[in-house]
Amino acid sequence: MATTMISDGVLIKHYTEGNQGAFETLLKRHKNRIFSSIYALVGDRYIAEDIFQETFIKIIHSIRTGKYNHEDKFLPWAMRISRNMCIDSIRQRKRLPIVVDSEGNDILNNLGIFEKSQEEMHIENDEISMLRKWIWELPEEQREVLVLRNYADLSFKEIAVVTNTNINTCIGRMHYALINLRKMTQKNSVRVK
Amino acid sequence: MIYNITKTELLKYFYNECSPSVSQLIEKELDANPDWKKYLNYIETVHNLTKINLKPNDTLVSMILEESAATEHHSL
Repeated sequence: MATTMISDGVLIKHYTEGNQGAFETLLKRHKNRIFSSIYALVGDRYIAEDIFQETFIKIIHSIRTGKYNHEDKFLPWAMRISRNMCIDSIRQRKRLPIVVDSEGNDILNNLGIFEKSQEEMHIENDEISMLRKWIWELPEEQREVLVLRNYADLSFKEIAVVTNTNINTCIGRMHYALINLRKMTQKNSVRVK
Repeated sequence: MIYNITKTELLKYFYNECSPSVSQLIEKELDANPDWKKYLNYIETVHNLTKINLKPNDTLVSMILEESAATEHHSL
C-alpha cells in the first residue's frame, strides 16, 4: 500500500499545536541536506555544526512565535536562514587576523582547533577531493548556486528566491560554474571521468 | 522548424526544470547532437561528484530536539 508523506507545512502546523514528534520528523527529513549544504559553503565541520544549530534555533523560534508563513516552502526558507549565516561567518573569518608562530604556522592549526574529523579525512582522501577543492575556488556566487542546486536540491526558482536574484541569473551562474570547473580540470590536466 | 537549444535549456533539462515541449524536443534530437550529449554527461559527472550526504552529529540533533521541546514548554 502506498504511503503518503505528510507535507512540511502540515508538520509545522502540528508542531505549533503541540506535537513535538512533528518537529522531529521535519528535522530528520531535512537535516542532512541542510547540514551538507552548510558544510559545502563554509568548508569546516565545526563551523558548519554551529551554523546548523543556530539555524534550527532560529527556525524553532520563528515557528513558535507564529512568524513562519511559507506553507510547504520550508526547505528554501531554512536554506535562506542558513545561507545568510554562512555568508556572515565567511565574512567574519576573512576579517580575523592570522596569528603565526615563530615558524610561520597558523597557531590555531597547531592547537588542533581545526583538526579534521574522520568523515572529512575520508572525503579528502577519496577521488573527488580535487573537484571539491576547485569548487572552493569558484567565485562565491557561482559556488553558492552549485551548492544549493546539487547539495540542497533546491530548484533554480527556489535558489533565485533564496539568493534574491532571478532564475536566469541563477542558471547563468550555474553554467559559468561548470565552465570554470572544466577549465580548472583542463588546467590541472585532470580528466573528470 | 529547427529550434535552437541553448546550454541553459540543457541545464534546465538535466534538472527536470524545462517545459515538457522543450524536453520532448531535446529527447527527440539528442542522438543527432553529440555536443548536447557531451554537455549533459558533463553536468551529470559534476552532479555525481559533488553529491555528499553528511550527517550532523547525533548529540547536536538531540540538543536541537530538546530546544524545540523546551520552547514548546515555555510557551505553555
